[in-house]
Amino acid sequence: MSNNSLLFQDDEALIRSLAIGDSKAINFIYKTNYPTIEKMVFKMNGSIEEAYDVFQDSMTILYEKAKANDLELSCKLNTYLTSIAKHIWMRKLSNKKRQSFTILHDDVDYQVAVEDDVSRFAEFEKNVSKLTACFEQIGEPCNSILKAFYVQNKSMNEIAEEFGYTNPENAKTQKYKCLNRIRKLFFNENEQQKKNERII
Amino acid sequence: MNGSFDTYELIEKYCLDLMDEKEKHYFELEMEQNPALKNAVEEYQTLLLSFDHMQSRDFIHASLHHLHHNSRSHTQVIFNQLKLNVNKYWRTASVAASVAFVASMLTFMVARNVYKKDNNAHYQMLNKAIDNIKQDQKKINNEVAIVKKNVIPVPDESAKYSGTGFAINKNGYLVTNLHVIEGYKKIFVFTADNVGHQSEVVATDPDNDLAILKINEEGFAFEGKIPYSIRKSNGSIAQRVYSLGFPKNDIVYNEGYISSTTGFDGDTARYQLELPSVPGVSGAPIVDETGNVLGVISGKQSQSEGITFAIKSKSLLNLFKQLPKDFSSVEIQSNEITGMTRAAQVRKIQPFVCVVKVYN
Repeated sequence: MSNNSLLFQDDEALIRSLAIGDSKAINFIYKTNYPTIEKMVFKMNGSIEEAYDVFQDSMTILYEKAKANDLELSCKLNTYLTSIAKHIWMRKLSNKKRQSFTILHDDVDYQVAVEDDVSRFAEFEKNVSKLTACFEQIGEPCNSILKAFYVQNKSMNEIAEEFGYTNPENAKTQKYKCLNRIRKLFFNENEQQKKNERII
Repeated sequence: MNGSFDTYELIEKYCLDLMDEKEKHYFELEMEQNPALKNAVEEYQTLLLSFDHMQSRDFIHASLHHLHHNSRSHTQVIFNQLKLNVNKYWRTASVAASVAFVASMLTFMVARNVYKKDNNAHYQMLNKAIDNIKQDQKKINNEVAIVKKNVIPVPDESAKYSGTGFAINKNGYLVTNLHVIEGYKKIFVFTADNVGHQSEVVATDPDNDLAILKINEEGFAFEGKIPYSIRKSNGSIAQRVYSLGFPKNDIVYNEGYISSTTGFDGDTARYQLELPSVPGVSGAPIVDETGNVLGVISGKQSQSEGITFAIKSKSLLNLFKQLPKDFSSVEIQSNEITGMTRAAQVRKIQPFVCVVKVYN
């Protein structure tokens, strides 16, 4: 385990490995950051399970940014990840208590950047849970076809073979129908969410 | 994306960045002139981003799951260290505490002996004084009792907010919405005879917007047993329901059905009802056809007429656990109006539905 620090020369090398989903990089980031973040959440009235959730979310943000080559660090990776985790936890706390917290930070620009990352992530999470609900509604084979193409990145040839279509063109037509159905469900629900509940 | 399969293929090609420069240029020109196409592309991109996010998220969750469950929790380690420390210093701490205890007992006994000597002379007088105090206290107690029997008057000003409440116990326990009473100092419950009774909050559930009030008057009781019961199981979709509330000074009856077993934004703690509601009916009971209360009205959807949300009775039953021991739920476990006609049911229930008014 102590060899881990030799694996990555610097943060940039670590991020490059994370971007391709290298398990060694994920392992290293977990080992070096998880204890700090767990302690922090725990100190701020969180449970161990909540700390793990926060870490998962922070790690997802980091991974997505690394993958999109969109990570310009003005500080150490550890500092960035802890800051992200802190924002996520504050957000969860304020949702829980219906109060808003603000985090004071010396570097305003940096804080804004972290806040943007976290709120974009929250938006994504909302969309994913909506998408999951839509997936449940459309049923099979649409569910598996869409996931195979968009989530598991399989080619149309593989999908045609797997689902027993005579050629990729047929599979493509089916995929189009499925996508259209999920699109309708997804965006209709969006409309509904815009309506607000009002107290009487 | 409402268009044909061909349009869809073009959109996908564009979004996945598979077009050559020329194709891309023409497509973007087309998009500028055709808002429907532009909208379709945006929708497609949102979906693609969500798929992407789902993928990253699943990947990270799976990788971490493997790591996390093979290593011991760090905070658990800190906990154990704390425990160790307690064990280590326990002996020292207990010795110190015993020394302190013995010392204070010694001081107390010495001091007591010194004072005892000249205290006897004042003993008689002190006794008299205590008698006087006793008499005064009796007087005060009597006066307090008189005041207690007198009803605290309803404030002169007009009420700041008004909602509905319904009884869950003969002795003056009522349910209403937390938002009806939250933040106000004086709460009055107006019973069917239009008499206001000062009340206090005895239990709240902020997550479910519920509050339980108790009428603060000695000897207050509703006439007769509570006719309805509170349902332990959830109601089902399409079930017919009705409500009794106070949008004005007189009670108003409304009926409808459960249109969804989840409330606003998929909230599983609420029902969505197709039932008209207007301000003032917050806290009104939702009753099923056999006379069981299955929910409490809490709000409505702002942009549509007739959609009302109600808190499920399960949350209410949970809240009973917070109540003082003198509260008994025996009365609301059985139902006296099951077989009656609707009008007879309503006549029976009516005296137990009250107006809740709040003042500053």
